[in-house]
Amino acid sequence: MLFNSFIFILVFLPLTLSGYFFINRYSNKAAQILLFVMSLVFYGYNNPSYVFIIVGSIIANYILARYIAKEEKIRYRRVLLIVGLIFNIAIIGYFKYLSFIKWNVNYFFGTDFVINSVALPLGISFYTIQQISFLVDAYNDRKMTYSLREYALFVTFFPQLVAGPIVYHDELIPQYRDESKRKINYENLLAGIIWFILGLAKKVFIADCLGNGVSWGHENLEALSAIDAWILSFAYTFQIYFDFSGYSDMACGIAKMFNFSLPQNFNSPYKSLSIADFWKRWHMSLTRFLTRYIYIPLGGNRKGNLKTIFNIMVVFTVSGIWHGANYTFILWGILNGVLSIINRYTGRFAERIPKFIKWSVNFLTINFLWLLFGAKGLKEFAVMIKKMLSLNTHELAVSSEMLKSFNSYIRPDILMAMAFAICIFLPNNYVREKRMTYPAIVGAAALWVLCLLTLNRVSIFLYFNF
Amino acid sequence: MKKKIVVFFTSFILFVAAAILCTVYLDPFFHYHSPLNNYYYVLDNERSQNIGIAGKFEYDSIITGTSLTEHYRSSEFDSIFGTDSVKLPFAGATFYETAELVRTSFETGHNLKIVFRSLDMNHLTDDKEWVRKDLGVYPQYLYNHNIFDDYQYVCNIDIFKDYLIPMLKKRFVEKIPGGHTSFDDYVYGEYESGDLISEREPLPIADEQKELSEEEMTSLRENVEYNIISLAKDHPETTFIYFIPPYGIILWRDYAVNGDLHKMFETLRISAEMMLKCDNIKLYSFADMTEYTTDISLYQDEFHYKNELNSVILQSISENRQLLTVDNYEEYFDMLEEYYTGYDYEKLIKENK
Repeated sequence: MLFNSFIFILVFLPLTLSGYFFINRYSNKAAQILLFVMSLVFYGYNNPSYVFIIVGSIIANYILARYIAKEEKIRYRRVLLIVGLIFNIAIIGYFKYLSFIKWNVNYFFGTDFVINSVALPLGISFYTIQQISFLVDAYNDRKMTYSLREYALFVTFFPQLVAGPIVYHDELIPQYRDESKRKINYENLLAGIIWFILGLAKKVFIADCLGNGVSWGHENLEALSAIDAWILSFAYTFQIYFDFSGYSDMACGIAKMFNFSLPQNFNSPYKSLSIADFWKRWHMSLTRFLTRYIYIPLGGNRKGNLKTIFNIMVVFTVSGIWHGANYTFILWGILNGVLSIINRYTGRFAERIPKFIKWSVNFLTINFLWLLFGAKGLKEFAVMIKKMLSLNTHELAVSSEMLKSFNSYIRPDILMAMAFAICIFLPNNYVREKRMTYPAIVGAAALWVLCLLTLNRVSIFLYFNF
Repeated sequence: MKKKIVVFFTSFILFVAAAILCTVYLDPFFHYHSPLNNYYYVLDNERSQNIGIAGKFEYDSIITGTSLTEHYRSSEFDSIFGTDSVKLPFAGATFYETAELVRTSFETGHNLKIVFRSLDMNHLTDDKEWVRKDLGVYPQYLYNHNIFDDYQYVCNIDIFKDYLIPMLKKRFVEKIPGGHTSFDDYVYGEYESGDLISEREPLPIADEQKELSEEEMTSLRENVEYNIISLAKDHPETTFIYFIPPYGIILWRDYAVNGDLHKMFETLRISAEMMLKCDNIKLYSFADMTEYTTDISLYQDEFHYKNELNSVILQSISENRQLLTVDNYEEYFDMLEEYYTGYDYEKLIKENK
């Protein structure tokens, strides 16, 4: 089920909210079960078979965690943890990476494995690492006080199930147990609704429109001029931010309606002045996971410069691989790692450089890296770079077809300017002062109606056969 | 805080109601009522607006069909036939789609003098209820009587952006008087000479010219019966004028090379046989106007010809020339098939390369 759909906004969410708080008057456990069931409905709405995978994964991980926590001998505990890690990595490996692995084996070893594309279960990348964190914590802390019901709800809690933020069990489950959160809180409800609306608006009015232009660019790559390529590269930079942060805003907003708090995922990343700064602001929940469960266990920065460099490269390479099964993601991760290392050891020399220059260099670097991230392959990335580098001041005419392809509600240039201004000058929705004056409330209602209107479009018929 | 929640949801409901009322009142797709006198309606979306025009406008004749009817001028048609017509073409249309328009027109009480339709041979063997959902998201909510799916119309951002706001701007800012795009200008454009040669090779026609399969035969008969014959039988007071377009030599060449030429003529024969049994169906054919059909400069592509041929078609029909009858259609198609089978397509391609 999508957040931006009539069925979710007008049916699922009101039903789930009212059902949850109503049942919670009588039984917190029953309310949690309802929330779990509704989360599965949300998850399996478009493909019921996904439910079996996630439920199977939850049961297996829970049982393993219990055994890990109970096991006295550290050797056996370690074995169980490794089994758990292999189990989770194998599942995600099968769905996400098997085709890529087969392709590489065929390419490098001349084999002839048949590559069948396997549909990727929704959110598997997220709930896999959430459960990995749970297993590792069970190994380290050896506390296992959660019931299966609580654990299942932690993994499947629908606002964060599909695309994060990545939550830790000790962040969410205590909230389920908090008696003060059982009753509906109208301030949280309204604040959550407004937060959700702002996230939805970011997605439908900005991200989706920019995405139309970007998709057009992918399909008409060869026809792009240099200036078109530059515009589309920035369009993608803004698209990915507004889409992902918009989704996180919606997730946090929905959670707030239930009186739950999810961790911050974005902190105005395009205001960053360096790559290191960027990664403290972008997909923060992933960064903290990688830091806590890979960087620090490897030794972090405590074992000398060479080991620190190695650890940083491991973290970013894993990040690249986690993002997708393509060399573009891996290279993207590696480049981020390299730049982070350079930043780490040269940062102090940059202190005297004016902020604007630091920001500009950093923003352009991020833009370049997103180009790699968003390319369908290394070849497409190379074509785009070549086009962008061929920019000259005599050929600045923008393709009207490209501008039309955005299909946006306002002029594309104003859309891009607005996206830029929001990223750079405005506070993000997580830290924004949540004023609930009457004009703000009425404005939010109007914005919500506009967002709902975007769910219906008039189709333009394109015909090739007559 | 409860008060603020109430204010929020009340505002939401009021805004939704305003959006719905605005759309229902202005109704740019004529789903609920005919055009309001004080507003100017831009007509530019065939699949969204045709059905509304068919149901809610005042007229006594319809020009409909595929893109081969888009470039007719209603005024020219009316001056020749003494009618007050609307032009409602569907690019890439099936016979079902255009038949639904005509059915809607009758169901909404229109007494039609003439229904003028192209007889597109490439769509005759379509399934009798096929709709071109392959071209875009079909606005099914405009074609049914289910009020519950109208939310897709009354809560639609494109309706607001592209129709309602411009309509309000025209009325209150630009002070443009009420009306609508003329049917002369509705989806009108000019077809130009196109490049029909460079991507074609001088290939011989296929030795084996296929026959219609049983399945195609059944589909053809059902389609013609349901979407052509039944309309005429149900409305004997209306004259149904069909025309076989002056398909260009390149189209016939493509069929011949692919072995489909005989099939197309069989399709036309069977259709004509069925249609000519109805007294109120008049079938004209311009496929034998070889002074035009062999002039590739008149064609933008294998189907579309320059607008001037539309005037030739209308004038011929008004003078009752090119009319097929029960007595002459078989000989006509035999002659046509012989001509297009024996044509030297290889020379045509070579000479024009």
